[in-house]
Amino acid sequence: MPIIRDKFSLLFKKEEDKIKRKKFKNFFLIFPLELFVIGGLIFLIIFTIYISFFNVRFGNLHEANFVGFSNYINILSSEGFWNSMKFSLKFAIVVTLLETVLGFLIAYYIFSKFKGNKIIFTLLLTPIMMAPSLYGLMNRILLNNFVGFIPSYINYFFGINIDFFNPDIVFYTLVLIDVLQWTPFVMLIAYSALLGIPKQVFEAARIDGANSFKILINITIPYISSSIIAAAILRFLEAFRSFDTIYVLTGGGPGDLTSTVSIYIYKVGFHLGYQGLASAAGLILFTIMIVITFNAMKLIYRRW
Amino acid sequence: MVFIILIILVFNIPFLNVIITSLKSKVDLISYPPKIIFKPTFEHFENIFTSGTFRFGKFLYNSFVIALVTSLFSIILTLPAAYYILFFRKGKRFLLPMVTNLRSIPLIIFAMPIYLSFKQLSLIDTRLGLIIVHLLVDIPISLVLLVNFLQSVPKEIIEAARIDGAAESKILIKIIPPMVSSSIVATFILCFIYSWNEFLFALILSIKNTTTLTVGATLFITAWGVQWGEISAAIVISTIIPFVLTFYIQKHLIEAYSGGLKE
Repeated sequence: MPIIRDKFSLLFKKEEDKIKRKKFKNFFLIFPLELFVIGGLIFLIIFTIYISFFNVRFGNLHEANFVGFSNYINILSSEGFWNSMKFSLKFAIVVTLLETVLGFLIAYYIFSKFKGNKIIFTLLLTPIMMAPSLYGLMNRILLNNFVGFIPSYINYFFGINIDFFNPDIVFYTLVLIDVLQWTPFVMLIAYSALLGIPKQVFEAARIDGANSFKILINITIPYISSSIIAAAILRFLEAFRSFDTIYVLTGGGPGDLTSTVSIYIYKVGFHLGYQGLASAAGLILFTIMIVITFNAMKLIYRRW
Repeated sequence: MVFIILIILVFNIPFLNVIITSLKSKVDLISYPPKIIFKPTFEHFENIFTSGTFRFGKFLYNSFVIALVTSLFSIILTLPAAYYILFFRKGKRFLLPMVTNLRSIPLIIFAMPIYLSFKQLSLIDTRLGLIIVHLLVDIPISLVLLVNFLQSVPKEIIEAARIDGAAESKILIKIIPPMVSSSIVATFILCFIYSWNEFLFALILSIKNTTTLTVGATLFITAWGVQWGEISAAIVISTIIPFVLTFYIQKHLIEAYSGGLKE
């Protein structure tokens, strides 16, 4: 008996080795890129931390001096930085609210009346596929005082002269443009979520005599609420770090009026050339966002 | 019925307007009020290709090459990883959450170190540099998408192949792609569009050789004034491609966001 057992164990061992080698080989074949990406990111973060302690100017690493925490103190006490944070926050909140509500309404409307109509759906989806910077330029052409359709016709019909890029109302112009481009994104998510509700639920509700409004409130919304919230969070994070559209439209506004955080850091780093400062600002922003995201995640997971 | 047309119009006005503007002759451009009915001309489209100073053809070439290479490598690198995550159930705990959390970080944070390190490596103003940067962002996107799409592959087929003794690499090459080919194409297109539309790093890392369409369009805004006709033509050419591609991938977008459940 022991002889047979030994022979068997030898057989199994060979199989085991083969599987182990296979796993090892597969791991190597398949994961190197992920390590590359993650390794690259870790390297970048460490490098940023390193730079933030020097006063690097215009990409000149060799002549930079060690300045300790002064970059951080500079940023944290800088009015421009906090103003841009305030602007980003204000912009992101307003825009997210508008887009979430509008996106859901439009999605619901299509879902009720034009479900499955590919052409209508796609035509509504197009703004999100275009480059944000190009979309910004498109709107600049549209709203410009000289060649823009809209200001000219407003003037022609109503006699009022609206300058859409006037510092007083430029915030609303930027909000409008962002809403035009990204509401379809929320609409896409809401519409997909609506499509995911099993038909039987609707039928059962109708059999039980519920009217459309009741169905909307008690069935539809609970079903898709998590998707809508996810969409809102995605939009908020994206709007907070807005760069492309606003940069091509106002370049950060007269002075720093319409600078989002990204634009501010970009200007400090690449227009003024203070790359140590910009790195420090970037890291401060990074920490703030990690803290917020972490807490938001905790909140969401606790609800469910 | 009218209402939906109105909504569609509102969302597409900027695009329609830029098409109209690109077809207006110089005189029509500055007429007040702007003409709705006019004689179209293609002079602006001609100008941007033949103009010596703007070299739009080069912008187009740059954008196209960078987007193409980025998307290709993105798929090639992430398809095996997505397969691995789903069918070996290993990397799921760390990789996926980390990768999805990456998307909440403003990219500007990486602008500084990338610029400085690329300067040392002489990668500034090269297409290769931009490709690397785009890959850094595209890979997480395509990984998430592919994991999502691969979930619709029935496990039994894979199990059957494994029992038949197929090596994993064979499964990857021969079995998976035919089953999810349309999803792979959709992911490819999405990566392509992302790279095509990228602005920030194209702005930072390009001087004159590798200027892409997105940055190039802003060059029509000169100190002497904006060349409305030319910039419109440039924008039309740059955005017509994503516009057309949307029709193809709209089905996949719904699939991606509704967790595969369609009516």
